[in-house]
Amino acid sequence: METEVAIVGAGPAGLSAAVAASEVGCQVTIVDAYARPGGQYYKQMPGEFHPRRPGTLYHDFAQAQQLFARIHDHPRVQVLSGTTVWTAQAASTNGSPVTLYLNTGAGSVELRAEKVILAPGAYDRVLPFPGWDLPGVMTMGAAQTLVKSQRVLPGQRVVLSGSGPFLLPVAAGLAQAGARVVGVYEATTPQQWSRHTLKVWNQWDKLWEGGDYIRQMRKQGVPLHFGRAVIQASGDERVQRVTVARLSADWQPIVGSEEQIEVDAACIGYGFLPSLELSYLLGCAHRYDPIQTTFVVQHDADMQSSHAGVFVAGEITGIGGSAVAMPQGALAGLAVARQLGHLSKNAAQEKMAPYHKALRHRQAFAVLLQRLFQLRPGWLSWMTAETLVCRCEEVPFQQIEAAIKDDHAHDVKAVKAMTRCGMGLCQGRVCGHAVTTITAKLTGQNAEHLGTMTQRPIARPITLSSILNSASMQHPQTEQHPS
Amino acid sequence: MKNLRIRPECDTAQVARGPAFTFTFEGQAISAYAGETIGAALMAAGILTFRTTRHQGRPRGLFCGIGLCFDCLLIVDGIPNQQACMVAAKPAMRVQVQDGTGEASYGN
Repeated sequence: METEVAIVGAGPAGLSAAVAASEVGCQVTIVDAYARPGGQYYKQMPGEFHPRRPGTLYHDFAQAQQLFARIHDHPRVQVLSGTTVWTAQAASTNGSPVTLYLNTGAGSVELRAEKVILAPGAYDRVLPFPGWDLPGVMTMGAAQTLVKSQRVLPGQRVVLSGSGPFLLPVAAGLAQAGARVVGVYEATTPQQWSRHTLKVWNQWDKLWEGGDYIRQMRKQGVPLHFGRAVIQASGDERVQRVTVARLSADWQPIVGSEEQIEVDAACIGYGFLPSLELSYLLGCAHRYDPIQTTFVVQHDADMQSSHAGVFVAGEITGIGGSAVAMPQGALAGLAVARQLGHLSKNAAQEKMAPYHKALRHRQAFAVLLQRLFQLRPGWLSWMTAETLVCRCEEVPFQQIEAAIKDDHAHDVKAVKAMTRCGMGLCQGRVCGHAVTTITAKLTGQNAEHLGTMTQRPIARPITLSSILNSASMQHPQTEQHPS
Repeated sequence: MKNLRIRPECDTAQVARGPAFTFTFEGQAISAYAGETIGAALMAAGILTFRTTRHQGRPRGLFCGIGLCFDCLLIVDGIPNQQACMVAAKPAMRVQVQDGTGEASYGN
């Protein structure tokens, strides 16, 4: 298959890019892993579900509807839903600047493109603690997807723990849907935020949104605690109780402060990690962000990465939510259209100006949030020797410790080779951050210089039979999306 | 059986689900609605363990919920490594717990 512009991800960034590029004449193909467009933020219900009052589904429902409407049945927009990119190649031998290899579920298909916009989004960061692999312990994103899209509660007595603004909408949503939310534990405290508060006041609409969730939580009787966290989960074959502890300023549990809470679900999330597999595969330059403690992809003002023709938007440039992702997507879409000759230089500049302005404003707030909810290193002490760090390969903390202290593993690659951390099906997405942080701490090095697990030739697991099926599978199912 | 689906009086969006049907999990009938993932239908029935790990036999279930962590794997109609959070439940599907790599059940 061929397309002018390939966009990976149909969340706020990818959809905004598709709208901007297609409306000025680009032929766009969006590749998205899920059954319907929207990404995590505008996650839609299955097509078989029919909301009679859809207006309550998103905080900014009108904006979501507008995005969906503008790509729906657009003659220049093709949406490949339920399709992942399992590998990618820049400047390949077939003459196309970028080739994406798609896993349609029925086989592998090549998608050749003039330009690509990567908008693959992010996923929850969970810090390992004893019992975090028990069934019933899940990410906050998992809980939200269950409730928002599948209309199922993760449990009847639910605890939430983590840090960051995402705790609030998840807690409010769960309580409203009928779960008993027995406690919401934010690891940071308002006292720690206070030196930043002045900068918050020009972002009144986002503050209002946060206040709205807190009002909903109050109405439902959901207790919100600061400076505490779930540091252990236990139970027979499933989570039955969690241990919550008060934390010091650097997140060491304070001895004697522990309390046990009976629950049947625990939802955990310490911010988000960007999905960088494809930007690494295509050779884009990345930079380490010490505040977010992760790499992010680098880009210029037009959202072009260091690799010409590869544009980026949304969470992979740094976690900023939809308010940052949408102007970035629009800028990427317009810049691509300009490069392809669909827009004159002046027209492009004129169209881009308001997005540049919105982005500056929103990005300042995103960086502030990153600072307020920055991880503190004391979380490392929540683990015991037996706590699994890598869930896939079942590698406990003590094995990583031994690899570093006894066998002199000095970077992430060596730890991986010696312990099998990150070699499972999740490809290090879940444990990569923890392994890097542990290695940095135990070797006394800066995490920036330890390498990453994300650089691999295969971005998503695929079966050999799917690759072998590639010849017989030339036309993937193209789904134009929803009502 | 447990039913953790959002009750109509708590559902602000007033969602009408797709048609109801059943599939089996370890031989037990599980009710589901068109559009639900296998994982959501099992969670709704109070079933949390979808697989056991290959070294220590630890129980695992839904974790990331968005198709990235591969912890919610189970065997669907004899094929292992299916993601419960991504695969839609279908009428008469035969779903089983995946022990380890699930290879032992291949072709059964």
